[in-house]
Amino acid sequence: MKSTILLIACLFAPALIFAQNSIKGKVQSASNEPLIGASIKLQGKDQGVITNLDGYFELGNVLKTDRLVVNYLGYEPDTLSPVFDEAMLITLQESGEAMEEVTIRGRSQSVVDEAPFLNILISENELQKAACCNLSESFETNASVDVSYADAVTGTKMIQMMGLDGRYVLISREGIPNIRGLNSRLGLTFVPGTWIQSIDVGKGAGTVINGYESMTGQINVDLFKPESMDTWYLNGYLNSFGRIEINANHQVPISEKWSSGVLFHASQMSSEIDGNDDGFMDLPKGRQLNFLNRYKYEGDRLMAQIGVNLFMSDNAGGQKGFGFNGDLSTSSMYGYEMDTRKAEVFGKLGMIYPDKPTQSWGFQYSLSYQDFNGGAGRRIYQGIEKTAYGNFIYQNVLGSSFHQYKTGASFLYDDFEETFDSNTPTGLDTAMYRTEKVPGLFFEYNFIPNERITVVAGARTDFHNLFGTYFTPRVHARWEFIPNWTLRGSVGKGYRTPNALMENSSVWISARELVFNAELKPEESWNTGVSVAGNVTIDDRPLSIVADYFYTDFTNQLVYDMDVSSELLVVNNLSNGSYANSFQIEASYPITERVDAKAAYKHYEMMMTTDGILQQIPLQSQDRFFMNIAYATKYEKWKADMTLNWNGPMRIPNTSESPVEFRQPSESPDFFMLNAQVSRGFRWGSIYLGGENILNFKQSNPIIDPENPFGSNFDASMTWGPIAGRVIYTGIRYKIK
Amino acid sequence: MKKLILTFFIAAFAFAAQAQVKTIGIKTSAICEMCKATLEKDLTFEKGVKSVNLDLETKVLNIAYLDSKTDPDKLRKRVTMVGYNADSLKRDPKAYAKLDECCKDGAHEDDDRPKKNDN
Repeated sequence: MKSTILLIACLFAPALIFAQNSIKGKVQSASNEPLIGASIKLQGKDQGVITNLDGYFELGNVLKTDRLVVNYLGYEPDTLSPVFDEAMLITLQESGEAMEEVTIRGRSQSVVDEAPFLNILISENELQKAACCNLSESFETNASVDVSYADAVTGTKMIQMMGLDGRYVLISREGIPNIRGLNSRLGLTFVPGTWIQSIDVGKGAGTVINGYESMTGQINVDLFKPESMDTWYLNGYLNSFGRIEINANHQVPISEKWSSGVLFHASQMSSEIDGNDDGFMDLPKGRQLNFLNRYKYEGDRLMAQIGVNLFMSDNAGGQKGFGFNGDLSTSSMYGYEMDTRKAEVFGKLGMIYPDKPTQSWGFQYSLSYQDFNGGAGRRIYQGIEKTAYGNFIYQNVLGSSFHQYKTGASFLYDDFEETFDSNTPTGLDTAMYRTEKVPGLFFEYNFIPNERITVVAGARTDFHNLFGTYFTPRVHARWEFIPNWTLRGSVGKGYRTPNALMENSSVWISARELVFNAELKPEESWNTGVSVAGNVTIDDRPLSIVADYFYTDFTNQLVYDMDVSSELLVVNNLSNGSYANSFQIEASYPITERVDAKAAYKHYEMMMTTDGILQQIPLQSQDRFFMNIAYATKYEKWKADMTLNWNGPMRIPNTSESPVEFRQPSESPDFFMLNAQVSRGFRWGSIYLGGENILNFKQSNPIIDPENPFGSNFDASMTWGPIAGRVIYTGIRYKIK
Repeated sequence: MKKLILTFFIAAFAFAAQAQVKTIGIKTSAICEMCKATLEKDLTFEKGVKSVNLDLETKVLNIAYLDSKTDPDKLRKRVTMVGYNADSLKRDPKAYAKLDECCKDGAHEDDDRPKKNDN
């Protein structure tokens, strides 16, 4: 199949004759079934057509230089050159992943045009622009996801979407919810950057198929796949803080139908960096081992996959000298420790029907065990989470592919055991146990009357053993109102169970007492959004513009209130007391054939009732600016990339009760962050050199009263900016095809 | 001051001139866009090569290179290792076997027919 297309491409590409003509033909499946309602579109143009009930199409005014993009749900999209003299016979192959959305993967990072959801795809090429280190750093060149620092000790980076914490985003790995529960904060570091093939960032509630937990958005991470990865892909990385990384991806070919892939990561950071001389390490020491192996079977009808992921990481931070096996409860030094272990078995099973190409089913599953051992100062935490997840999806059409649906059932078993000891006479000692058992049913209907309109209406009902029935309706619509301009709208509900201890791990590193005033209730929100995406041609090049506005309204939120007192963190349920408005406008334009520029401005208004007052969520910028410039020579022999972020002032929690010398201003200054990277390509791979935070901006005195870490004024959780300064890194990528 | 800058530029030029950029045209057996991309991409990463362009009409691969780092024989040899004839040098059979189907002999023998009908 591929070679036929190549042959056609080869035939016509050299003959660049600008003759106008019409084309006709038929779209069919590998088993010669006509595909009804398949779309044929001219790449980069508005022209397009849908096949009729017999699979036939006709399209006028086609240029020889045009490229046809052929799409059909459940099939691999195809791009080919037109043939003018005879009827074209286009055969599409069933998509390997029966349960994945069909998207066009072309440009390095772009809004996926045909998707009813506002989806932005980050490709491998784009990911390589920020070579360090794991998923939390993979959004650096993406404007829709913001990255910030959790606190001044743990080195944890947090993501936000629409100005709200990343815990409200459903982060999945190949469709299976992955970063959630106890690891919603630390889990981003469990996915090494070199394992990631691409990331889909979806804004808004999104599809109901993957669960009810996507309250503001969905991020799906695709790892390198056994059938398409390189035989070897080796990466070594070193930075000026002394972090060393080794990554290896290896394809193990077994037979025509079986393939296997191994992904490996090892990293170590053993130096103690203290750039601001407060006696505390700016980021913890750490070591990590991460291993994933999966097997994939691809038959004519059946597809199966099974994999295992083993992960361990140890971190030690706090005052300089505190080591990996330090004893928190007795140490004279203030320490931070977090040791994590994870084991997971996951897989998929899918079936397609060659004689009924519109029909397929898939089953995804995951079984995992995670444990977290650590703490800060005298506080000691232990958490264990056992999860079992299964999701069955059936997909078919109603009569024709103008009406498509997906339906199925899911089950979640999630068991939590947490203990927290403050080891002080007055502090909080608690043990929290809960077991969630949540069977659910879902149905999603896609109405695609023509090329220009898609409506997705879905709903799911989940029967939570602790919190009752969740009903989750969601509607998304897309309308290409004028050529090249698409309007999208969405409204949807979301739920999640908060994990107050883990989600406040930054507050452990302060003298604040944790006060629980709340019984555990699920968080519940409505998200509504509209967006416009399109492009105008300037100098034969497209200027792409995306503007979006989203409103998230919490009907119930677990609020972490730092404003009540500088000595407390109060955990409270809040009904209808918090909401977030987010506005973003992004433009990208290839300034020349070799230089791409992208800029975005974001304005957030995130309001929450703390200390009895409806006010801006602390430690979050309301205004942000983002810019990225990328340069590449022919065949990417040289590549250079630069990203500039401006963060507007942030509100700092109320400290008016603190002794005068420890009081903080009510607002942080604004600041810039600059990252840049240069890489040189070779036949075998590439070498790269880059810098993060090149302007060396640091939050001054990120820790309050660092001399008395066990005293009552100590606080390392009031973080609004980078703690560690400039870091220079270099690395090498080596590929054997 | 002006003189100093001028001297600097002259020196820089003289330095650059030492490593001379030369150009060469190598007649290849490339037949399609795919061949063009394969050859150009490979030669881009050859030591001493500054720029590469294949003209599909004439099948000539034009290369600009630094004569201090490589020479025409090495460049021709490389072309054969990618799987294409280079002037009088024959292609490497192993490399040829690995090429895409559309880049192999006879893959475009019917090309002329549709072209005539089109115009």
